[in-house]
Amino acid sequence: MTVLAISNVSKSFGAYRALDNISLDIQEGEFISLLGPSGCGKTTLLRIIAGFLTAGSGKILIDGDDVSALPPNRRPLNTVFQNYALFPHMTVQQNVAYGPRRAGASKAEADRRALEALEMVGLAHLAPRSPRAMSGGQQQRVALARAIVNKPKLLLLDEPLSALDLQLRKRMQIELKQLQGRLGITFIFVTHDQDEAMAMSDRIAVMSNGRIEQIDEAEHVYRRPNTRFVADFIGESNFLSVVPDGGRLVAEGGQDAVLRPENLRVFASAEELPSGWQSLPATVKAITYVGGTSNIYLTAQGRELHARRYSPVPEGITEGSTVIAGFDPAELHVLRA
Amino acid sequence: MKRLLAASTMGILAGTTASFAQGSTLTVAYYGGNWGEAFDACVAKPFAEATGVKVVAEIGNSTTTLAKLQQQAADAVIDVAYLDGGISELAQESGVLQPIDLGTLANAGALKPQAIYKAGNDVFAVSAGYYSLGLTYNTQEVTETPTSWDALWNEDYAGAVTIPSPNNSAGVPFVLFLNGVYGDGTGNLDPTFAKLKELDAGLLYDTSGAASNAFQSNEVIIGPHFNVGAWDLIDAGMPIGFVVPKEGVWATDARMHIVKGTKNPDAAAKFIDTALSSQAATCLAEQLYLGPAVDGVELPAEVEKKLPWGEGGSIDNLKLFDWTEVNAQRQDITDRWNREIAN
Amino acid sequence: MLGSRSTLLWLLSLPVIVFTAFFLMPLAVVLISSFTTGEGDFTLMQYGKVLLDSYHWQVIITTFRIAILSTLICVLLGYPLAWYLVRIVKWRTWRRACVILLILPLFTSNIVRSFGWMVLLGRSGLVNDALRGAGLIDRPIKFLGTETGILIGMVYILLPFAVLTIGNALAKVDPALEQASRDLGADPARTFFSVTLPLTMHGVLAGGIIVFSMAISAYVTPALLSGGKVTVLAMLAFQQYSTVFDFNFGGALSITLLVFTMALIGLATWLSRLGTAAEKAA
Repeated sequence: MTVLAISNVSKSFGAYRALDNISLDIQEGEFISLLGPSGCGKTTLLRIIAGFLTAGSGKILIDGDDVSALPPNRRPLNTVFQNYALFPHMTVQQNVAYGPRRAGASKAEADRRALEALEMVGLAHLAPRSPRAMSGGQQQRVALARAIVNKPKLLLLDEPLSALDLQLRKRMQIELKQLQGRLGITFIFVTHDQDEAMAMSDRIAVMSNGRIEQIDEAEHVYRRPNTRFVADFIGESNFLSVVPDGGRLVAEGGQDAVLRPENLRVFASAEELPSGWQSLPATVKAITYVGGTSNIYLTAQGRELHARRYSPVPEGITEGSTVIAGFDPAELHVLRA
Repeated sequence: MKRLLAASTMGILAGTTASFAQGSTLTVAYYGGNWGEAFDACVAKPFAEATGVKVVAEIGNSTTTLAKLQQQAADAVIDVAYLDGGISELAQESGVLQPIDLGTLANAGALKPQAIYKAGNDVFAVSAGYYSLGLTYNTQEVTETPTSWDALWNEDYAGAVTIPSPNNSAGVPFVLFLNGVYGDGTGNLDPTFAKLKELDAGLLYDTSGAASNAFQSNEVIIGPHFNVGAWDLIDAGMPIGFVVPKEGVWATDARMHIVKGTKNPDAAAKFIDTALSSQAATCLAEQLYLGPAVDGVELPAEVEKKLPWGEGGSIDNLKLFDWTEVNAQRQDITDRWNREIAN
Repeated sequence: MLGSRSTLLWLLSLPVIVFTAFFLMPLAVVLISSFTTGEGDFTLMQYGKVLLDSYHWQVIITTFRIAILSTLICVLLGYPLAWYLVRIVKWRTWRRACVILLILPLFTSNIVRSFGWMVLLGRSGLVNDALRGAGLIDRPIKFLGTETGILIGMVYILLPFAVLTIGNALAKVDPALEQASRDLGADPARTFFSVTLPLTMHGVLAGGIIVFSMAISAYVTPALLSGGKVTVLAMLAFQQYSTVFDFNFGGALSITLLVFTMALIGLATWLSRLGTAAEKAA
C-alpha cells in the first residue's frame, strides 16, 4: 500500500532548479534511501515532504491525502535532524515528551510514553539529564526516540549518522534497521554514503541534479545501473564501448557498458582465458593491496581499467608486465541509450 | 607707551613697574562662544594695540574659572578674571581676588555707583555690563504688548509659559524677584510659591538655549528670558518681543576682577581701564546688548532698545540683588522648588 | 623570557590603572563624600536626609517607574524588530540600512534631538497638529514635560540596545530547533514560547539590563523632555553638584541610585534563575 506519493514535484531557488519533476511512490513499511552527492536535491525533497519548504509545483500525498498545503505540525510524519536538533533548554525526557504533549497527551501520559520510547533506544536511565552533556551517539538515540514517540506513519531521517565515527555508524546502521523492522514505520533516509544506503535500504533512489536517476533495490542499482552517473556513483566501474549485440567489444563508438572491477580478471597469457570470455591485451600500471583485496590498474587500448581480486595476484603479473584482461560477457551491463 | 609709563609711575605699587615693563602677555579668563568673541573684539584687541601686551584667553564658564583660581592660589597664572554676579561674591569670600585701586584707572570716574562692588573699603569687582531677564513673548500669539508680569498667569497662554528653573543661574533670583512683586514684603516666600504653583508652565528651563529653542519652535509663547537671547531671536527674524514690565526686571552683570598674586598688576589694571572705556562699552552694547556700567555712552537708538532696561529705560529699572543673600537662600529655594513646582 | 613576562605585566597593568583612575577613584570619592559632612566628619546624615524624606521616595519611585516602563517597552518593541532584522530581512544591504537607521539617534546631539522632540511632540508639533487636523482633539495633548514624553524619548534612545542584543541571541538560535518543534506538532506560537523565547531569554535579559541601567541613570533625556516638571534621581543628584554645590548630599543621592539599581538587577537575575530552575523541575 502506498503510504507516500510524490507526484511531479519541482522546486527552484531563483534560477537554480533544485528539483526537476520528481515522482516517487513509497510503500508502507519500506526503508528507502535518497542517495546522491551534495546538491543533488535529496535534502530539498526531504524538506518538501516534511513541510519546511513548499514545492514550486506538484503534490505530496500521505495515505492518499494531499498534504502539500499543510504546515509541518499537521503532517503525520516526524524527522530526525542531521545535528539532532535536541532542545538544549530541556531534559532528555522533556525533549521526548514534547511530541506527545503537542498531540494533546497529559503530562503524565506524555512522560510515560517518553520513557517508553527512551527504553526502546536503551536510554531510559538518562531521562533526567540534559542532552548537552551527552555523547553524539546518545544524542542520536534521543533524537530517534523523540521522532518515533508519536508513532508517525513516516519517519524522515536527514543524514542522521553523518556526525558519528565509523564504528558507531556501523552499529547504528544495524540498530536503525532493526528498530524500523520492529516498529513497522516507513523510513525515508537521506544520505550521501553509498555503503550506508546499500547496507540498510529496501530501495535506493539515486539522485543527481534534481532528478531521480534510478530507483531500485540495492543490488539492482549496483548490478544494473541505469545511467553512467549511477554506475559511477555506486561502487567502481570500468566503462567500455560495445555494440549492443552480444556485448562484443569494439574500440570506438557503440554504447556504454559497465563492468565492475571484481568481474574483470587478469591472466598472464591468453591460454588461461575460460571459454566464451572476451579479452583484450593490457599493461599493468600499478598493483595495490588493501586488506585481503588486491587492485590491479591497467591500460588497455588507451583506456584505464581496474580489476579487483579477493585472492593473491598470480605469479608473473607485476607492474609493467603485459597481460590479458578478460571477462564473462554476461557480467557486462549495457547502459540504456 | 608714554601714557602707560605715566600710568605706571602714578602707580602706588612702585615695585611692580618693572614687571609691567617686562610683561609681554596678560592672561584673562572669560567665557566662550559669542561672549568670548565680543570681549576679545571690544576689550582685548584695543588693549593689545594700545599696550603691546598680548592677551592670552583662558576660556571657561564662571564656575570653572573660580575653580581654576582656587587651584592656582599659590601661583597665579590668570591675571584678570571675568565672573558672573553670584560667583563674583564666592570668589571674594574664598580670597582669590586682589583689591582694585580705582584711583589708578583713568575711566573709573565714569562708573555708575552700582557697578562698583566693595568688601569693606576694598573694591573687589567692577561691572563689565548688565543683562536682564525681561518679559519675552511671541508677537503673533501675544498680540497686545504685555506691561506687567501678571501676563504670565493670563489664561490664554496657559501651558505655553516658560520660566527658569533653579538649575539656571537666573532661577533662584527670579523667585526672589517675583517675591518682591507678589510677596508680602517680609521675605516670606509662601505667597510667591503659591502663585508659582498656579502657573501653567510648559517649560521650566535649565539653560537659556532651551528657552530660545522653545520660543523658536513655538512651544512657549511668553516668559522671562535674557535680553541677549531674546534679541538674538528677534534679530534672526522671529516674531518675538522683549519688554521691561512696569514692575521692572531682575538683572545681573558680568564682572571683572584682578587675581590675587598676579604678576602683571599694572597691565591687569590697564586691561580693566580699557574695558571701562566708552568705546569698549559701546562695542559690548552693540555686540551683546550688555547695558553699559559707565556713564556717558552714546548709543544709536537701534542698540539702545536692546539694552537690559529696554527702550527709554535706565539702570534704575533693574532689580540688582545682593548675590550673597541670593546664595544664602539657594539651597532652600531649590529644595522647595523641587518639592512644589518640579513635579 | 623574563623580559617578555615583565612586558606582559606592564601591559596588563595599563588597563588596571586606567580602570582604577577613571572608574574606581571617582566612585570612591563619591562614596566617601556621601559619608561626610561639609566639614569632613563622618556622618550618616546625608543618607538620613535622602531616605527619611517621603519626597525622595517619590522621586525614587518615579525614576524606577520610568526605567522599568522604558525597559518593558524596549524589550516588547525590540523583540519583533530584532525578529524582523534577523529572520525576515533577506537582503543584506537593507538589513544594514535598518541597523544604521536604528542607531542613528545615538549620533545626534542632544540639542538637535531636543529641538526635534519639540517639533514632533510639542504643543503645536506634528503629532498634535495631525490629531487636531483629524478632529480627534480640541486642545493639544501634553507630551513634553510629562512622563509619557520622557518615556518616548528614552525608548527612542535605548531601543537599539534592546534590538541589537536580542537580535544577536536570535541569530544564534539554530533554525533546526524551531523546525524540530514544528515537526513534533507545535504550531508557530507554541514553537515561539516553548523554544525560541526560552533560547533567546538570555539576550532579552541582557538587553533588558542594559536598557534598564541606562534608563535609571539617564540624565540628559529626562532633563530635556521633562521641561523641568518631572524629576528623576539623576537630575536631583546633578543639581546638587552643579548648582547647589552640596557634594556630600549629591554623593548620597548618587550612591542611593546605584544601590537601588544594583538591587533591582540582582533581584531580576535571581528571579529569572529561579524561573529557569522551576521550569527544569517541571
